[in-house]
Amino acid sequence: MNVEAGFMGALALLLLLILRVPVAIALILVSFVGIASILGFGPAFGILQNTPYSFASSWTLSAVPMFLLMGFMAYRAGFTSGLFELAKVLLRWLPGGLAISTIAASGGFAALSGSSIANSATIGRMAVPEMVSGGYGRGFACATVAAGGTLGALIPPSILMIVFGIFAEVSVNSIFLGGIVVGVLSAFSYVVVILTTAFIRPDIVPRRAEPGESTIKLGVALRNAWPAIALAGCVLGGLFTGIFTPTEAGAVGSMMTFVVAGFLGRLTKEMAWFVLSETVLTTTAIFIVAVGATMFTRFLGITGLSSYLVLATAGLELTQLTQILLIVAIYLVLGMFMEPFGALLITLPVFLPMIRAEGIDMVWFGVLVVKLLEIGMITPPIGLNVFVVKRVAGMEASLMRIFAAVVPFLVADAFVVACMIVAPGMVRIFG
Amino acid sequence: MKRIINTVSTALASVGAVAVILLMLHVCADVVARNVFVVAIPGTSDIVARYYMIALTFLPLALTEQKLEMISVDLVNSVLPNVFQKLLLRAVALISVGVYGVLGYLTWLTAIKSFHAGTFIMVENTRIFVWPTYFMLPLAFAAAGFICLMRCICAVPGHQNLHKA
Repeated sequence: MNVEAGFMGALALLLLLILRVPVAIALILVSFVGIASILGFGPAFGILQNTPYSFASSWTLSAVPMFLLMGFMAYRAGFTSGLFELAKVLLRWLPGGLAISTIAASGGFAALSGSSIANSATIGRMAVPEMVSGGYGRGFACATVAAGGTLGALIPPSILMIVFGIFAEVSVNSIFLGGIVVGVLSAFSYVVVILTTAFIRPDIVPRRAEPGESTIKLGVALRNAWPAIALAGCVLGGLFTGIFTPTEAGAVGSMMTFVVAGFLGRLTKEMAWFVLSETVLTTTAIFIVAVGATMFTRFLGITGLSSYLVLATAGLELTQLTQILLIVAIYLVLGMFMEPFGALLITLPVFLPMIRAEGIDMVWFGVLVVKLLEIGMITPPIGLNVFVVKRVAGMEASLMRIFAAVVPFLVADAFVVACMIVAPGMVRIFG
Repeated sequence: MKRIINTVSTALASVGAVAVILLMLHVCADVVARNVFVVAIPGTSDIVARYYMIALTFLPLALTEQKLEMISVDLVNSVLPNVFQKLLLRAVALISVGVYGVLGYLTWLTAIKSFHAGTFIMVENTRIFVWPTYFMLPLAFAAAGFICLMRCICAVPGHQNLHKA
């Protein structure tokens, strides 16, 4: 009977989401009505009364606004341009050198920002016009930036990984370390896509750089890129050597970003307010969904739906590989339509008990889920990274053309996911 | 009315923004104190969790609603005729009013209970009162609910952003 209520709740949630009810409101409403129908209004009121405060009053969670602040500030202060210049100086000799530099700059900026949208927007604004004037196809230029943007959530700091770590109760640092491996592998796979395209389709990816494309010297490039390199080194170094907790790393990183931006004369009152408002609005939007997801987890626990699904899956005698492939398929489909935080938080209450029951490594699962959700950022019909790149730089490339150009990068992503499934130990190389 | 709504939502979000700055400064001061003077600032994690986190999580909720920044799934909305989109927007706003209303009322009851109990935490034999933080929740939910109510009645706040991606 209660399991039926769980299924009804999940269906009601789906219906509300389709009707464009905000994810947080839908989760809270379904949880409240569901718990009230099973246990009565007293316990339902109790959960509504206590969950928001008890969820938000968390030290671990405070890493999220700190890393958001650091990323937004680094983005607005223009620290990325130095990284892009340096990448160009070092990599322009390669076939498709500008596109490879774009991927390298995206990876570098990912070490300062935890969001792939910020990554796509900031790199896209600089790299797309330069690639187009360097003879690259518009669609391919936009697709390169959109794919490179996904590194933002894979290479630490990553907001998605922090939220996963808190819900799954696993070390955020361990997920971050796994994220580095998968992020770097993804970047290399994108480079292979660019090199291959340069040999097959030199009309959209030039094999040689245009003469005079980059005249900047290595010393000048290093001087321009030092703030971003120093910041990333300090934050990630402090985090992985155990000097800082994630919150402390984010706070020190944010402080350094403000100080360096001020020192370079790039900090204005308007910009500071803009960065702060972006930080609080994003934090609130994510956390209120997380409050709803916490209530939904309680509701599913009461209905016994999670345990039922665990037993039902065991009864089907599916192999672990089949279960993983099913979960991969579900995330890929969700990623096509949903924003990553919404997709993550509505699925974790169902999937986490199943993964725990199977004895699968949670760190590996966390990195896999983040990778899958990031693939959703470049798949149609709702590929947020593609939309962002088109908005900031790709006005003359149609969405269809960009999505078509993204396909080779999706093949590379499929290869990375396959590697993770075949060799799960790679996520734990660093610990 | 629009000006009052803007002022209130911006003021609440500004308090959230101040909480972000204080969180950054407080944690940095703690890191410096611990590494340079080998003394941690007492109660840092408690103050962060109970004051800054509560303020920055909930107080900007009204502005988030006003700017239509809440995370949602745009699956059928974009293909619906304009009149249905508006109707759906109002229906969704009405549902949100109900949810925020219940949340606001229930968290208000908790806040009153905490106030009467004088809820505090102990940090190295010192009492730090945390009951004021409980009042941030009903305030935030009431403001967000009011914005949704206005959207439902006259579709004023955030109207210009209705078709934002």
